[in-house]
Amino acid sequence: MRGFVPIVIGGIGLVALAGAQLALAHEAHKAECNETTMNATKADIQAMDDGEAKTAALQEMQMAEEMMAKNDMEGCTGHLHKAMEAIEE
Amino acid sequence: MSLIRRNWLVAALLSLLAVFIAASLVIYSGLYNVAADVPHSQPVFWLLETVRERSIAVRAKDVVVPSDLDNQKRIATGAGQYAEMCAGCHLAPGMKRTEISRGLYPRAPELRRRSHSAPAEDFWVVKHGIKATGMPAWGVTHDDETLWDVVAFLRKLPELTAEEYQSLVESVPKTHGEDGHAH
Repeated sequence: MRGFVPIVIGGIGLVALAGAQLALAHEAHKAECNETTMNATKADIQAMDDGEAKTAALQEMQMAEEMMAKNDMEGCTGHLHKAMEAIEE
Repeated sequence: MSLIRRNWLVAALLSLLAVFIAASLVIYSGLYNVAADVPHSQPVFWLLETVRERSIAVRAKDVVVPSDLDNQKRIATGAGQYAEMCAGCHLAPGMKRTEISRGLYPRAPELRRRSHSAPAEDFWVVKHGIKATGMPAWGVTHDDETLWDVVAFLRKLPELTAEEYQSLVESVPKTHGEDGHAH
């Protein structure tokens, strides 16, 4: 019993930590493809330092805009999320 | 005046007039969107960024940097000031993006990421602020020593974990009350 309690507490802690990580990750995944979100993401990309992450973000953003122009919202959202992930790197 | 020279002069004057008329149209028609949720076009963004970077570089050239920016007391004091004055916009380790950080344009740089600016330039920006951005001139309300404490902390900030940052902030007393004024 004595050894069981720390294991349970440790398990609860791990679940809480995983939940926090998912909550942070999912903030980006709530983003929808609309003009406001696209503009906000473009502003975020503008503020990035030049480098691989910015190049990747720009490419994903361009693809997101192309998908949006074709009314493929699912495709747009996918690329938008990738752009956001690149921004967070 | 020769005919060729006169034609060049007329052409130059007409060009200037055309530029003046075009500029007036752009300015007074409200054509340019100043909404903070619509980014500048890339050429305008490049122009404004370059003007800003060069202005800061030229003016920060004569700033004398103290030799003790690695002093732990300076860094700790600077951490406290940063938490109270800066973190809301520039964020801190472990912080989620705030509403203001998401709405500011140009974006307040996330200072928890590696910075490429020199201490003299950081000091200049913190002291004088930047026009037409959300960056205030903290020199109006804070002395240079306090601002150098912040600069000392900024150099350390990208290395800190969320826990280290929190511990540093909690190691110093708060200096700003709820109304934003120092006690």
